[in-house]
Amino acid sequence: MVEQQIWQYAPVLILLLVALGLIGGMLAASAALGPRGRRPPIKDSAYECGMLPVQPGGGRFAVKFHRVAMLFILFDIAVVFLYPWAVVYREMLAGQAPAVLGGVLVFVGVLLVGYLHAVRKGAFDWRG
Amino acid sequence: MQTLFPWLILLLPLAAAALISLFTRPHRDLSARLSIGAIVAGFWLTLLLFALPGAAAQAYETRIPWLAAGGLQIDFGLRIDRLSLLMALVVTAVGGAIHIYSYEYMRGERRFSTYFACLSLFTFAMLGVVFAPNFVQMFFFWELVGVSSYLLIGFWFERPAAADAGLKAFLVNRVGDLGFLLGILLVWSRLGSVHFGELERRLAENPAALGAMATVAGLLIFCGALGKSAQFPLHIWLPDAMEGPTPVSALIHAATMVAAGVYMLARVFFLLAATPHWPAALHFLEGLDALEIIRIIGLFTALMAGLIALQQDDIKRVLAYSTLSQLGYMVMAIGLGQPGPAMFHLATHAGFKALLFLGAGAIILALHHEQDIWRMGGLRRAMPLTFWTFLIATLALCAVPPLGGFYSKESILAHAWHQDKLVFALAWCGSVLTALYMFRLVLVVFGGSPRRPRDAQPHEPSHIATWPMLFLAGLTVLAGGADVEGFLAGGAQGTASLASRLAGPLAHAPFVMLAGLAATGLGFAMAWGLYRGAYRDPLPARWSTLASALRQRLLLDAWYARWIGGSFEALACLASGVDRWIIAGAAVRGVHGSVELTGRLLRLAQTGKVSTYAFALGCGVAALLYWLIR
Amino acid sequence: MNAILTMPEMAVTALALGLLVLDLWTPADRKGDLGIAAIGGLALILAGSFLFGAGAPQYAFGGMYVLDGMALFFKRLMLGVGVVALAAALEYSKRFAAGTAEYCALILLAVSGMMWAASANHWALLFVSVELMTVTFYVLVSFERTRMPSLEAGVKYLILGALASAFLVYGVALVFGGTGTLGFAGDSGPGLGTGSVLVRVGLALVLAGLGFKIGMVPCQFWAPDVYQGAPAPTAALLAAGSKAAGFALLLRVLLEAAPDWALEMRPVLMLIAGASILYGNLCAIPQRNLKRLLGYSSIAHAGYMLLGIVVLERAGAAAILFYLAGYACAVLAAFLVAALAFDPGEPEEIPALAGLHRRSPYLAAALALSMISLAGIPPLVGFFGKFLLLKGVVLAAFDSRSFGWLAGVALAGIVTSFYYYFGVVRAIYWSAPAAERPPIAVSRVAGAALGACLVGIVAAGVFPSPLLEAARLAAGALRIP
Repeated sequence: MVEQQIWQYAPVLILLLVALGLIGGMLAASAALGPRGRRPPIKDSAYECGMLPVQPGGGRFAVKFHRVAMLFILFDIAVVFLYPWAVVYREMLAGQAPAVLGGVLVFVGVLLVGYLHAVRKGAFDWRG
Repeated sequence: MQTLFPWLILLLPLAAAALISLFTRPHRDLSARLSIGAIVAGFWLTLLLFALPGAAAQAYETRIPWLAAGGLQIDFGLRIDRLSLLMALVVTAVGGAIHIYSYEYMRGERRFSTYFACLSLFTFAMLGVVFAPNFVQMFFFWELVGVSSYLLIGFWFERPAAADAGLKAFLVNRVGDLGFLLGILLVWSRLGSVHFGELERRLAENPAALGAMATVAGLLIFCGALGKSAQFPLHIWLPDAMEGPTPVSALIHAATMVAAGVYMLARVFFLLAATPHWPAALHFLEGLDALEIIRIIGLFTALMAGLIALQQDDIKRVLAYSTLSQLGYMVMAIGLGQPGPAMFHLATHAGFKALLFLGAGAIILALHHEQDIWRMGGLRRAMPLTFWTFLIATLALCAVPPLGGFYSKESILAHAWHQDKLVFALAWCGSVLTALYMFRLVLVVFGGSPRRPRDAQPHEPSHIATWPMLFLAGLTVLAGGADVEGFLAGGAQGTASLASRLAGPLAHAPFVMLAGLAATGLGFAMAWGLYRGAYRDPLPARWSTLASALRQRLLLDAWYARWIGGSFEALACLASGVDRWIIAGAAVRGVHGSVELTGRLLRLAQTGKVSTYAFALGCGVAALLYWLIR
Repeated sequence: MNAILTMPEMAVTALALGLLVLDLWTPADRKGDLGIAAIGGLALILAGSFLFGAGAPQYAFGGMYVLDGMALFFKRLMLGVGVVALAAALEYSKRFAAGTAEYCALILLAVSGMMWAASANHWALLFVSVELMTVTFYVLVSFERTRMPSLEAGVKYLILGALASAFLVYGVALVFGGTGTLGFAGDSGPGLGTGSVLVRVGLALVLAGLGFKIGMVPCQFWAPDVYQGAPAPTAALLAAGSKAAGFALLLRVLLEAAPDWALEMRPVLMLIAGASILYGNLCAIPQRNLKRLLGYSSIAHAGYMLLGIVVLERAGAAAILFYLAGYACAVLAAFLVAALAFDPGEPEEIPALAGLHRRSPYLAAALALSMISLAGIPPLVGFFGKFLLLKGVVLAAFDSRSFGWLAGVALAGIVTSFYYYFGVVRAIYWSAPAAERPPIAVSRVAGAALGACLVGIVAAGVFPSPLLEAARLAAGALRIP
């Protein structure tokens, strides 16, 4: 029985192998196909449609971009949780109305507090 | 009355300590008075308990339930019997005298009130040990005694030597206490009780109740005494403890605390005397019983400390080694199966050794904190009272009749003679040493001509300090008349006439008595020949190897410092080495090495410290899994 | 639906959210009042938790959540720890440019995570509660954004914490895969067996994940770095609260859910306990930083407490509960002093404590008492806890020699620890300060919190009966099959 259980995980093993193969293959391919021989700096510089690069890549961004991105992900993921709830809502309404309604109200309430906090602290203030 | 008095005796010093540290700290005089009042009241109450009809006749207890959880039932109580009453009398009498003496000695101290608070705390803890009816309570107060002694040794913490000595005393004692605690656990797990009376009853019912662990349990408990009473090999802290103020040395490191180990052995003597039996793993020790080992350690300490005392130049250190040596005699008496003589010697020793320290303190004060005996000399004329009291105490220590020390020591020697001639012979050599080093001290300090700067004019301390010395001298002279052994054995007081008791040693063991006197005489003669009028020690010139070994305390302290301190350092280095080299070094480098083979990706992830941690965590989990599915 | 049982956790969470909302309309100079309000609210919840009796276990959310004696004991402990940590935070947050209310709210959320953990009876609730704690601590550890050590500690805790969480969730997945159920078996069926490899491996991964929380070998590496770098109130909460939550879960998993597996793993657990004791104590010896020293010592204390687990008995569990309460008092007091006695930005070096008894006798006495209790000297609470833990091992040593070795290792560790604990006491009282420094003013709130810890250290040491009885009752609620 244990044998069987373990065989159930064969797909996981395959996934693992595929992942490793992919990474190894990419590394191997880049090593094989990548720049070889003499490598003057100009060869390693970024290619921008024939233009000369204005500044080095990986410059600094204003932190407000990160802030907005993070808040977006937070609320975005939160909405994802509402989908399963919506699916079982009608079913549960019959027997467990307080649970299904109270639960989601608490959830949305917590989100609301977070939203309020973000607004009042000026997280959305683009000039800040 | 019988239940109230013991509580008062115990709690008055605690109340004094609390009051001083909370309220009266700014009022120096009031603080000292509180502390002195508490212990003197304790002394009178103890005397009253002796005088109360029937109080001393039979043991009784007063207790309040303290901890009852499951199989563990511990009361907080007081056990009042002949043994604890005698010890309480010693503590309060000698302690009271030293409290009063401290008032003079510590007069100029900035933290005068704190000193008295500590002294009262110590008195409380010591009386707690004395009255403890069970192991747990005794251990509690045992530790509290250790803490308060730590505070008092390090009282002059501005001096690094004092701070170090405090720490050393504490750590060395912890080693002994660990054994003590293990012994208590062992006894408890085997006999199911920690209560002395109950333990004694159970052992009497079933002498084999301790089974194979009987001897081990006895020896583990002896470990506690090894630390507190500073027996070899844990004796190294006591001479260093002399860094504390002299009254503290007198009270704690001569009269009371160091005697607590002997008292504890007397209290649990029934455990030590259990039928010897070793567990299978230690079978090769079969035939050796606990008392025998205790006897050997006591005797060895007595001789070793006596030898070292011969070549010490610091007046307090000579007395410290003398204390070690006398404690060795007491432990040896326990090992001979004679707690009575051990307690008798404890009581007389407490009196005369405290007196010796008070005398030393008076000299040190008079000479502005000079402790080197070779810079004293000729003090007999300048400080006659100190000289005479010091001489009385010295004679008592050297067992000269009819002083108290004579009777207690002769009793121990007589028992040694009856049981083991070899022990007696060695103990007799110890007596010679005792007389030699003590008369060396007296001759060098008080005899000859002054060896100090001209302008110093030593004089006697004031009355407040001399009264306690006279009181203790009186006790020392009179102690011989007390029938401590008979009292402890439970006999009615005063059965034997005073005269017959005083002549007891001559009647019972004339040979031992004469041999003891001969030892004292021999020691005195050697001291007279070597040190009369000497300006420096003649021994190093004659036997340089022996003298230098003795001066360096037989190299024991250096050896300890190197091996024990060194091994601690080595362990610490090892641990930090593991942290730095094996984990950070080998792991990271090892990862590097293996990563060179497997690819660049891992290498990028495995630099820096966090990754090391993560790697080690992963290795640990891998090991865990390997163990599971191997 | 017994949702009413979860009132304490819900209340703490609501308090945290309320604090965040109130903060929005509070002027900058009144932020301190918010902290006071949080302390008051948490104390009120602590008082309210005594309305629940420790009767038969009650369940909520379909058995996911259990309220029994042990859960209640841990909840009260964590609420108490939270109150003291908040007091420390209120004092410490004076150094922050802003964010007092957020810091307090995060502490409250961490406390609520610990409380959920105390009641977890289901692998999913176990994981969620652990994550609530861990994620909150990521922020709490790196809260002093402008101080490099705090950031460094935050990064370390984040990465290693994530790794440990990964182990934990993978282990839970394997256990689920092996058994087909996410509930702890408890008294409804036999414990998780030794049969399936999947379950056994999964449980080992869970052990690693929880081992990170309590800081045992081999998951201990983070503790010294993080304790040293984190703000003192955070470190206090980590040591007293997070560790307690880890032990609550470990007790549930090892003694209730998987007793057979725990028996199989006993040699490994003994090895881990001994290694933790040795590693923590030996590494602590050369430390000069007070918080780093406490970090190493926390590893050793985790080892001591594992001694209560390896005996696999109720008595051992009771000893752990007692020890945790005593350890919390001592370690909270130590970190409170660490928060008060050093200037902002100053590393918490032990030699800098010289002369503390002149600058503030109260703080000096508190730190000394806490060190003495941690060292396990009677009559303080640390002694009695060690005594109880050792008692179980020493009794077991009569049957098995390996327990004798373990007891020996533990004793050696205890003796070693005197060296560095008394090094601290010595630095406070017996070292000459390099320069005269001004006296320290201790605010009323911090002083009261410190006083509560000291009363705990002394009272539970001198009169251990009430606490011991509570611990025994709580351990009695464990459903050991």
